[in-house]
Amino acid sequence: MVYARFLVRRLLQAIPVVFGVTIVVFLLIHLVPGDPARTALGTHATPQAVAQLHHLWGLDKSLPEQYWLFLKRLLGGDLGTSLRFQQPAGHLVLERMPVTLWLLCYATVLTCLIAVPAALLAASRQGALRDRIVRLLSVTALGIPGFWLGLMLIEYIAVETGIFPSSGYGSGFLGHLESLFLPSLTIAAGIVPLVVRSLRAETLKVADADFVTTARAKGLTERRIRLRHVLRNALAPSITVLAVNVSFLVGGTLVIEQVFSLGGVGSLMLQGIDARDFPIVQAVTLILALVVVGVNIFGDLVQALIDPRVEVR
Amino acid sequence: MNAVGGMPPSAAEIDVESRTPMRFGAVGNLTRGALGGNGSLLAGLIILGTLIALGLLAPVIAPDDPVKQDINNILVSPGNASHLLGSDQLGRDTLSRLLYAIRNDILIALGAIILPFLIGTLVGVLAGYRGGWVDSLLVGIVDVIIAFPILVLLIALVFVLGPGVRTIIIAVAAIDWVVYARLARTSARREAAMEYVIAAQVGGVPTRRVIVRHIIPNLISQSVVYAMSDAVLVILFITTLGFLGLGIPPPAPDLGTMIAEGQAYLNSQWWLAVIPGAAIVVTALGLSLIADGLAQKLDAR
Repeated sequence: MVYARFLVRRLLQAIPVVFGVTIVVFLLIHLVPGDPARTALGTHATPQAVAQLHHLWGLDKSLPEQYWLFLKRLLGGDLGTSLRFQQPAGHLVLERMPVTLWLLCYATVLTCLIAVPAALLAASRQGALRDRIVRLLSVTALGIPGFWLGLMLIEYIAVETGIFPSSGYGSGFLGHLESLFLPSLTIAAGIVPLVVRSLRAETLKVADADFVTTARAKGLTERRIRLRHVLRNALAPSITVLAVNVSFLVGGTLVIEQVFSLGGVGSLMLQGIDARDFPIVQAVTLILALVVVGVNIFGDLVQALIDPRVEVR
Repeated sequence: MNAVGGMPPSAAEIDVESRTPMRFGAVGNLTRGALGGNGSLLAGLIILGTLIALGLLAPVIAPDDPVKQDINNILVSPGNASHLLGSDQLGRDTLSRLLYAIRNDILIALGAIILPFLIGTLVGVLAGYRGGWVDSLLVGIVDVIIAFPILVLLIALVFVLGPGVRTIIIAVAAIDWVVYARLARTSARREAAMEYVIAAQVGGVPTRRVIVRHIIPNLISQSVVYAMSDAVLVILFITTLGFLGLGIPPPAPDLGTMIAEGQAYLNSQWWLAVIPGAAIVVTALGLSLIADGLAQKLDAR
């Protein structure tokens, strides 16, 4: 019951945010210097074509009126029509979504598989050599540009050894798992340092807590204390960290899709930019922002499940 | 631009750690060498200082004009007498381009964080200290902007505003200020509830003076620390924009653009893409080390 109330409250909190997101996405087109319709059609377009698009996009109406129309169309599931593909932009985005979602989930899993052991290793002896190595590695990894790392992995792992494909999505579950390994690893590499940092700090903090001292006084083994008492309590905040970083994860995906020629939502956005296809850019921006909002809510819910105290907050 | 920050353990934590008779991180605090304390600050300052010096001296030390093409000497291998790091597909000297690219990217990144730092901190302090509807409005705006994947919004903004250095600086500022604002707001609220601030208010000290003399000095250091790790992100964003063809307009050298151009030659002329990437990693490492070192120094105070 308490949990259901938490869920409802969290969903209600998201409404104004989603509302604000639609305003920002709506305003994007109005930031274009000059007439967006002319910019979109290029310099060779006839004045008639420009006027027609101008009218189609409702640019001849007042700003509040335009927003109202934009919102009404959104609620009807209409995110505009792509100029280049002559198809509904929302449809195009959803069509490309599976690759992107695969990448996001795969990268998250890899992040956990790398970050949790690394953070525990570092925190197991604060200041020791292993701690310093983990911290030096994560400080360095933080500054590696994803697109460059991706290129290096393609050239020196995919091309030279042939273990993983250098591009493409593969087919079937195992095919995806193999094809998307390098791109997901690249995305994960950007997030791992952030998660290691906070999980390490949380672990050290929890290791200081009274209940850990109690557990030790009761004579529990060090291993049991670490896994059952310390790790469990350090995990909840780390899930928040993961959820907060989904913003970086999504941004990373956009670039990495391009590097590995994966044809997901990110590639669609870059294609849209090349073709000056404003509806596509708006649709991708909006949907990816909604993904971030959704993941953040999900993260809060998972955290509430792990740590019931969160609900009361 | 994230909420996590890279806060190393505070002094209090370390003290408690070393008193606790458990193995869990009990040892090693006194021997925090190269990575701990000022070691990282020093290392970071040396790295970044060298890079900035190289960048600023680029017009003097660069052996060649970074945009001068030479069709007779394309794709020269490194080690050549006239092209120490080789030349690219247009015969431009890689070393000269690298030096100018480091100069451009560091200067633009530092330029791009000044605006959001100033605007965000000021807005955050005012909203946090005053409270009320201004504060609620700020929180609302922050929530909306951080709902966007930063890079996606940045790319969308650069796209609609049209490419150029000014666009990059405006677009970064438009997004990044919210993080500084949130940081400053939280601290301003905390300080505003402190007894010394209340005492100052009761004593009739004008609000502006309370903010300038009491609130800001107490929160500025953490914003500065954040700015250093923010610079890492901004460098990565700028070079990513360059890689995607949305960055500093060519032929001006940029590390991301150099990597994009070198991509086609990875098989035969690997250095064209590898060296600029390494330069980004080293620059970012320098900034991260400074951020870490500063954070530890300020915490230990």
